[in-house]
Amino acid sequence: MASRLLNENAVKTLNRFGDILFPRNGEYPSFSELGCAEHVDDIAAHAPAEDIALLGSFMATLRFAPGFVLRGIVWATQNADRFPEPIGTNLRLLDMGIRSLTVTLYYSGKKGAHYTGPTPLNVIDFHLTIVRD
Amino acid sequence: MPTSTSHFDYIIAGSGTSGGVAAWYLQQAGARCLLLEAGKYYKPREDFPLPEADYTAQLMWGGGIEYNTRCDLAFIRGRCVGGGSVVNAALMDRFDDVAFDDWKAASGVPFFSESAMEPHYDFAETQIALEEIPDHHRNNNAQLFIKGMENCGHVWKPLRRCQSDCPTDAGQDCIACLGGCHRNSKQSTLATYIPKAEALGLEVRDYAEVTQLEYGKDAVTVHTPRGVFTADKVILAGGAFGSTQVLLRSGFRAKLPALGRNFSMHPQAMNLAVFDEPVDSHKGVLQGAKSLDPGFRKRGFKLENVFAPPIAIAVLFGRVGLPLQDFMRKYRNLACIEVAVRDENTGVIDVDKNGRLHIEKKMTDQDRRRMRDGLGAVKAMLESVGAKQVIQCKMAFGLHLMGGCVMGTDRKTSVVNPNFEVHDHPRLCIADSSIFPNAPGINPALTIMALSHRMATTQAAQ
Ligand SMILES: Cc1cc2nc3c(=O)[nH]c(=O)nc-3n(C[C@H](O)[C@H](O)[C@H](O)COP(=O)(O)OP(=O)(O)OC[C@H]3O[C@@H](n4cnc5c(N)ncnc54)[C@H](O)[C@@H]3O)c2cc1C
Repeated sequence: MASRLLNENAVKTLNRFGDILFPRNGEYPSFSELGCAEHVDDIAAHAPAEDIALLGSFMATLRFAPGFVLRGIVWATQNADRFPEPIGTNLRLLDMGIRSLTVTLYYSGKKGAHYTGPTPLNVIDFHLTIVRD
Repeated sequence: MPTSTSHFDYIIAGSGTSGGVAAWYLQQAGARCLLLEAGKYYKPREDFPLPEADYTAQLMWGGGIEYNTRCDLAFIRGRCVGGGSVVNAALMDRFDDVAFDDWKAASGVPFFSESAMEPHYDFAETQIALEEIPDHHRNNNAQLFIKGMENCGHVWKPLRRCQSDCPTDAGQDCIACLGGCHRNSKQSTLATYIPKAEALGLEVRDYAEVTQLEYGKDAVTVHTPRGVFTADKVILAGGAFGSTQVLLRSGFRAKLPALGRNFSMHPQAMNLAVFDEPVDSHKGVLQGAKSLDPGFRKRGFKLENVFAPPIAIAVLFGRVGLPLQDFMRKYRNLACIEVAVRDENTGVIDVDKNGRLHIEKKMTDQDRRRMRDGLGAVKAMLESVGAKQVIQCKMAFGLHLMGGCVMGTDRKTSVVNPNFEVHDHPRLCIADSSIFPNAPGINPALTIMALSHRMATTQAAQ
């Protein structure tokens, strides 16, 4: 399913970041294998449009960046407090942009059209009971 | 572009804890009222989204979460008809005289006392169902909280929530109601005050964010994406961020030097404890007990028996990759206690040239000391009940957003007067969380309802 809010390059980078944050690990699928990025618009449509546009262009420019660059960015965002201001603030912003989007998609219970394995919510054995009436 | 113009006695901008109460009281007193809400009007039994990812994105401002300018503190606030009362944990506490005395000292407002506020609390409480969580409904997380409190000699109390007819014995997991209660058990203004007011003729418009106000001699004009409306009076009820933002966008800064000042947020930090056996903190009643320790109150923090659904826990954990995945495998084995700090009101709410919020807020040395004290108490409690590991989440967040339009007698240091009117602008009133002079260190919702009742009775008497 194509995103209306992020272009193809941005979605590819989202999957690449996603795989660094959520690699394949035991019964856990990797982020891209799960295919949850197909649902990115469900989340992004409700965030401020300017923020999503900014994140989208950032991701799109990194489409062909080598893996070590993306891993370096993730390392820097995870260690934002070690950097002087205003770099630290920008890294924290980027951390929340990338991390909250990927975490939300990965643990959303949503999956891609072609994925048939357990979702991360199945792996952690999360179920809720809602008694309606 | 505006599509309609209409005149009302009152326009209430924001339909949360304050706006819902004000709309009902004024409507039943005979006024013609319009309630404007930036978010959607959900029909509780039909269309609250159920997955955490969806309700967080759809029901909260910022698509789930907002940040201060340094991006080291997070804020969560509801955006839908019912506002915070739809997404909150429904804990209902009255303030004590410690909180009111500090308010009175800061503001000079004489009615800030337990006794003067009593009739308003009484009224607010009669309009909603309140239940104390009984022993047999406390889940494992609550039991561990109580045991830890007792092991360490602290005082605790059962929690009181505004709810009715929660099917706990049938297996209901209340954590889902953080995204809106699917059976209308939670006594949000969406489930209580607003439908009663609509039955009396209240008009409600959703997706109607108030972008600007024009204050005139005879009326106030309100601009929204759904049209332009006028009223004799406008009640701002957008919460600390929403109400302050509307006034800032409308150019009131020059007339009101205190506008945007004195922001506080009760910074909260989660402590997650890993146990060998499943705790299933997400099952059953979400919260069952609270700290009521005089020592904690004196030291400026309180402890919350609480938990969160998977996405929130994973985001708060902070780390990524294998450590996060491995940690989340233990989700069912986690217990949680949160520290909430009674913080100093040094934050500033501002807007940029496009009207977007900018929140300047830092934890002061005192706030950090209080947080450290609270974290120490929690660690001791969790270790005393056999936790294998205690993880302190790094990012603090605020659910109780307060100040920005504080009440007071001095127009240089406050924004609204003791009659709830914006200084020198009697057609504008505010009674929401933005008028709090400083942080009470107690759950604010019931007091917001009581203040809104007081404001509405004052208005109706006029
Ligand atoms: C997850 C969570 C749990 C909480 N748990 C508790 C608890 O257990 N007990 C407790 O006492 N408190 C709790 N709180 C806090 C409590 O809910 C809030 O303090 C309270 O709802 C604030 O009331 P208010 O009327 O000031 O604002 P809100 O209830 O936030 O209402 C403001 C409304 O105005 C709307 N709005 C904002 N700007 C505009 C605009 N420009 N135009 C139109 N509409 C606008 C918003 O969308 C919102 O619906 C919790 C909060 C959260 C987020």
